[in-house]
Formats: sequence, structure tokens, C-alpha cells
Amino acid sequence: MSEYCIELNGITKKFGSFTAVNDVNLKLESGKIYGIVGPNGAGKSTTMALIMGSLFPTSGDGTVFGHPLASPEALKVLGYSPEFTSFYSDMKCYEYLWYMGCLSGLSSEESAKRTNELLDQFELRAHKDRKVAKFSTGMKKKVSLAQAMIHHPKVLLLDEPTANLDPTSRQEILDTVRRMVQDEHLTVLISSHVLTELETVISHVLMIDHGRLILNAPIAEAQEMFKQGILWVDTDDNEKLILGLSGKYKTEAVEGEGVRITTKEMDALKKDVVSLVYSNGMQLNKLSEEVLSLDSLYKQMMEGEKNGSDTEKDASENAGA
Amino acid sequence: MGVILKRTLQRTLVLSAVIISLVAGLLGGLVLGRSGIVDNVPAFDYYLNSRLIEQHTVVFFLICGAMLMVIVSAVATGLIAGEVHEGTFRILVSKPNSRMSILLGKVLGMLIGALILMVMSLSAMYVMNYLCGNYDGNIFKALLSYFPAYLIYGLMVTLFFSSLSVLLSCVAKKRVIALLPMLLVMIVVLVLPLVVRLVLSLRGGAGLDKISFLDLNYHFGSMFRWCTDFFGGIKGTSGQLEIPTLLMNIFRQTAMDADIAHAQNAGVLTTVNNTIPVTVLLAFYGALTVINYAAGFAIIRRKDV
Repeated sequence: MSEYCIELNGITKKFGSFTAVNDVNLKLESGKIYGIVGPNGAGKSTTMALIMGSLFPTSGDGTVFGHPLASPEALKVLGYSPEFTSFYSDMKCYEYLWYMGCLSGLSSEESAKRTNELLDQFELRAHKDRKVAKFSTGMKKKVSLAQAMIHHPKVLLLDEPTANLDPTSRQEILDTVRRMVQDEHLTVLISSHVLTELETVISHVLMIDHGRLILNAPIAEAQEMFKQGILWVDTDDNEKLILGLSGKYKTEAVEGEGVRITTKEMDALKKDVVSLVYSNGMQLNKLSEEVLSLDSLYKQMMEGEKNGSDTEKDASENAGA
Repeated sequence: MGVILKRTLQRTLVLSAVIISLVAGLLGGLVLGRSGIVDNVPAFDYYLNSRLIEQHTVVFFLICGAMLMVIVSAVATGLIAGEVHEGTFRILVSKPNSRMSILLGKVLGMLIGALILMVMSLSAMYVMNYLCGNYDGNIFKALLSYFPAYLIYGLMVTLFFSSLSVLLSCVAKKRVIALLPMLLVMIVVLVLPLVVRLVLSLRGGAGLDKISFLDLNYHFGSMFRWCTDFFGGIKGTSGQLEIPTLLMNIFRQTAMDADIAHAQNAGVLTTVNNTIPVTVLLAFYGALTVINYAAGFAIIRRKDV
């Protein structure tokens, strides 16, 4: 049995000439929450679909707890909630969850019992006799999560669980995910465009762009890796402050906010600022450090990727010339 | 697989399908019952053959033809393509079942459903025929004895048309895309030869048996005759056999020498049209059914959804 719950080895998926996922190698450890982020069309959903077995790789392979992707043994430990869940138009909420339970290998009685548990857990009891297809988007997402959880999976794949939801519903879904992870000790792979939301849930970040995995690191390590410390300083003479720091630090005056100073040597910067303020008899109004958010990390990574490809393009153009 | 089978069975036996099958049966029974009432009492064999030929024609065209082919094609084309289009197939394959067992459950559910609809329709036909007709008990018993033959033939039709529909359903991404070729097949090889034959007949009847290679009415008519042969076959005079000759092309009529022509045959000898031996047809459609299903299963095993 592999020590990793999910392993992808050089997995590539092509749709005609378009490469949706390009040579992705990935090892996910049990009990952690992985956030998969990337722009539209980056390959997030395709990667999830490859793990889940609804798509077959063009090359490469993978395992789920040592079982080949798409095998019934692998699917037994996976729970999947797609970005757009479609429901049978004739099925009521209870009936749908019961059916999903039976499809997941539970007996009729087990499925009925589990359905009742999930109806309470997801606060859907009052709507159990209503047709799911007529539910609101938020409630549909809940049913989608519930069907993914029906057979007590070990790994949960959640594709954009908060997409198209209002802020209250988003928070509700994320709280549910948090609670599920705590109660069931799950490994979760979750994708989202709303990165600031993921930040509060995930322990690892996987960044994907143009089908390539460009970052796989614990969230804290990723933040550290790209730590471009930002210090906001406001004094009664910001011009003098900028003059004193120029040459050593990158400074930028922001109307109404003060001076934005970026550095990788935060401790040295703080000392220099305090020393400069003290020696020039300036009045210090504000001194605050900005923590790097997943959003800004994401932007940095994407900019880095873009610059990288621009550099490659320039290099090839120069070579051509 | 069991739960998928049950669900597909439920979806096959939807109210509209049940109504269509019952209406087809009742309508067929009504037509047969009304035409069975005669003023003069004819000879037993002559009367029975007339009733049998009418009953065979109704079963062949209405119950095992239009009703069964349309329902089976409509249900089977939606088995995979419908779910793929609606997006429910992605959830279905995310559950721990092999794709083979998913398709097998769906196909078996649909086949059992079609069989139930066929039994309902045939039963409705017999009941209505009995109620509307004025039958001697022996005549009705003889008519009833063909029930198993109709079931066997209906099963053959169901298997072949479902295999083609399932294959199209596994390839297509929308149900309508799978259904259109099926409708085209039905029109081109079922309706068109019939029209051509009727036109040829109106223009003198020449070359009636010449279009049999692409004529599904002839192919399936021959197989239908093969099924009924176990229970007594289709017999009758030239006049009585005119309908199956015209519609299915399974008989051919040849002008007899006037000197030896029997008055009842009106100078025409009716013989079985064995242009294509029925064993060849059975082997061909049997093999095609197996190939279609095998191809469908092979496609679904590696289909991206």
C-alpha cells in the first residue's frame, strides 16, 4: 500500500491538439487539505476528473491508495462533488441521496440510515420530499456535497464548491467542509477561484496553469517562499522618508495610505525606518506589516509564469533573428 | 447493478410508454375483433387463416413494429447519451461500480421493461379482440397459441434495435443525436421499401421480390414467419396471402397455367420468397446485435465524460 493517498505520475490529458493537463506529477498525503488554484481553463477540473476517473489520461497513470485510477476500489474511497452537479429531474432529495448510497455499495437499509444522517447534517430535512432539480444553487451544492459523503469516503474531491453562491452560502458551504474534515478526518482536494476563502481552509496549495503544476507546497511554506515583505509607513514627512530609504528599498507613496516599502529583509527594514524617523525627528503615524495573502501569492506566481513564458518567447524570437 | 436495473426499468415503464403500448394493443384488438365478424359462416380453416393473417399483420406492424421499435429506440438511445448530456453520468461513474456493470444494469432494465410492455400490449390486443369479436372457442384458442411466437419475435426485434440504439447512445453526446440515425434507419429500411412495393404493386406487381436485400420488412418478415412456423406457420389462399405478400414480401405470387389453376387461387400460385434464407438472416442480425453490444460496451469502458 502506498504511503500517499493519491499519486499521479506524469499524467497528461489532451483534447485533440489542446493539452489540458501536461505531465503532472503529484503525491497527496492523507489527512491534509489541498487547495488547487489556477485561472479558468488551467486544468483544475480536468485534473480532478482524471483522479476521479471520468476522464482517462492520454499518457501517464496514477493510483488512489495504491489502486489504479477509475477502478471500483479507487472509487470506493473517493467522494466527488463536481462544479456543476446535475440531478435527475424526477428525483426528490431523499430518493436521490438514497439512490446515490445504493450506487456507492450500501445496502438499502444502510443507505436509508446514512441519508437520514446527512439530511440532518446538511440541514436538508425540511426539503427531503422536494425535487432536487428545483432547489436553489446553494441547496444543490449541499446535496452535491452530501452525495459525495454518502459512503464515508477517505478522500473528497470538491470542484469549485462555492462557485455561483452568495457570500452567506459560500461561508455556509466552507463551514460544512471544515466540519466534515474535522469529523471524518478526510483528505480533501478543493478547487476555487475565490482564493481568500481557500486560505482559511487549506493546508497545502497546488497551483496549476496551462495544465502544468507550478507549485505544490504547504500554504505557510508557499507564503514564506514568496515572501515579499510589505511595510506600510506613514510619517509627517513621507518625502524625507522615501529619500532616506531610496537606493536600498523599493518605495512607493500611496495617497492617503503612506509609503509602501517592499523588501525580503523585513527586520533590517524596520530597523532602518525606526532609525531614520528617530534621527530626523519625524512623527511616526503608522507602521504595519502586510501579510502575503494567497491572492497576492497567486498573482505573483501567475506574473512569474507570464514573465517566464515572455522571456522564453523573447529568447526564441532572438534566436530566430 | 441491481439499483441501476430497477431505475432503468422504472424509467422504461413510464406512464406514456404504458399508455402507448396499451393503446397499440387495444387498437389492434379492436380492428381484429371488428373484421372477425362475418355474415356468412365460412369454412373453419379458411376463417382461421384469415384471422391469423390479420393478427400476424397487426402484431408485426403495430405491436412488434411501430410500438416496440419506437419505444425501444427512444429508451435505449437515452441510456447513456441522455445522462451524458444532462450531466448525471459523471456522478454515476464517480460511484464504485465498473462502467460495464452500469451499462449492463441499464440494458437489462430496458430489455425487461420492453418485454413487459410487449406482454401488456399483446394481452390488451387479445382481450379487445375477444371482446369485440364473435369467436368460436377453438378459433380464439388457435389465435392465442401464437402468443409465444410473438414474444420470441418481439425479443429478437428488441435485442436488435436496442443494440443499435445502445451503440449510438454510447457514441453520441446527446440523446437526439443518437435517436436521429435510428429514425433514419426506420424510415429508409422500413417505410421506404413498403412505399416502393406498394407503388410497384399498383403499377402491375412486377419485381416485388427484387428489393429484398435492403428491405427490413422482408428480413424481419422472414424471421417473423420463422417464429410463427413453430406454431403452425402462415397458411392461406392467394387472396388471403396478398397482404403479407404486399407488406412483407415474404411470399411471391406466380401466374399458374390456366388449365390447372384452381378457382380459389385465381390463377396465381403463392410460394415462400426464399431469396435470402432465414438462417442467413438470423445469423446476420444475431451477429450484428452481438457486435453492436460489444462495441457499445467497449466504447463506454474508455469514454471521457
